Amino acid sequence: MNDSETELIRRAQTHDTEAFCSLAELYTRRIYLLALHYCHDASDAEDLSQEVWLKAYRALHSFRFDSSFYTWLRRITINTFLNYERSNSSRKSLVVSAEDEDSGSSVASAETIYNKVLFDSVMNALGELTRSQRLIFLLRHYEGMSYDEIANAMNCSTGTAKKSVWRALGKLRNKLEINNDETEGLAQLATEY
Amino acid sequence: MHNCKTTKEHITELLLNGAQTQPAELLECIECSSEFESLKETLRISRRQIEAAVPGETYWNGYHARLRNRLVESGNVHSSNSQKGSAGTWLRRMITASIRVPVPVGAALLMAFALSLIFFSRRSVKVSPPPSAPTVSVVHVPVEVPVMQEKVVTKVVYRESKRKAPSPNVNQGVDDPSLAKSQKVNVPSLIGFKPTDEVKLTVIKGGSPDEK
Repeated sequence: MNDSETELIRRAQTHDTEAFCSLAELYTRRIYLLALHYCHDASDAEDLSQEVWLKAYRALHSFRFDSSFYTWLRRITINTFLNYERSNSSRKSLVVSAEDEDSGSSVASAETIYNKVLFDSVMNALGELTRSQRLIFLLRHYEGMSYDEIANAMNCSTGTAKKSVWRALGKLRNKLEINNDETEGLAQLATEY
Repeated sequence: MHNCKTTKEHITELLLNGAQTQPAELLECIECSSEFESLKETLRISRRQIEAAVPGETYWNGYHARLRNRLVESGNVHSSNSQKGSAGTWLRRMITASIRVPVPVGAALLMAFALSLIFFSRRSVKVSPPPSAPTVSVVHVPVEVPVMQEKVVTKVVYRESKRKAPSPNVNQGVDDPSLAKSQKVNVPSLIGFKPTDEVKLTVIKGGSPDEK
């Protein structure tokens, strides 16, 4: 946490909205990305990520600089996601598509088409998991959290967290067709654990 | 001893922790080496595609504007709620406030309160003049009161502290007339006694049953 971020936090703790917005801009993409892959819906992802920021704004006075701001924010993010899952457990949709990003271009290059295929493969692979499994995989792979931290934050066992990650990796490898002929290691590992 | 199953589990953790090159032990096993490369590629592609889902810069301008609006609205609602809440909370606390008082203290307080109520109600009855009563003017008139004066007479009485022992000669010492007069009353004497000529005895029978 650098000095400017600390200063922004201190100003935001005095209900300085501009300071909080400046602070939010540092992390909005990361939080949005987690929300997007968690709920698999672009509009829901915006609502969910902004809900995280509103909660953080209200709770910022309780931040004591014991950990990094992002660690504190990520805990709020996970709790918000879990509450969202309880209230929207029936909803499951896959609206995210790489076409949203490149809708302006009429002529697509081979690389763009390849990326779209990969993107859809990844999204489909993650879409086959439950929200909790997706979140665990993202927290381990994208956020770099340990299994103990994930288990503590998600209120589950480390075994469940490991199983979710291996299952996600197995599905991703299958969808991306990176399988080597001889090994089905992860898929097998996930089912055995 | 190389165990492929254990090694595969180890490979996953190595890659998730950011390892880029294979450990020496993996190079000896083709299967594990292939697993390492496969997983490495999977993680690389998935990470890139996960990050690729982030919208472009044009989206973020609108996103931050919407977030700012929601924060301002939330701040206004929060402040108005906190103001209302503070007044309401204060009133609620006042109404629902309670303290623990020992029973004797409570009884004493109630008694004191009741007594003070009675005292003040009586006092107000006494003090407050009747609304229709005419104004009374107080006139001081001196009145002479006769005082009965009593005369105190003191009489000193002397008493004889010791009685004189009787003298062998009765007639002696009758010199003092006041003393002789007092002796005539109190002391029996045989002066003037004359015995009778005949002795007359009377026997009474049938007295007590023990008598013989």
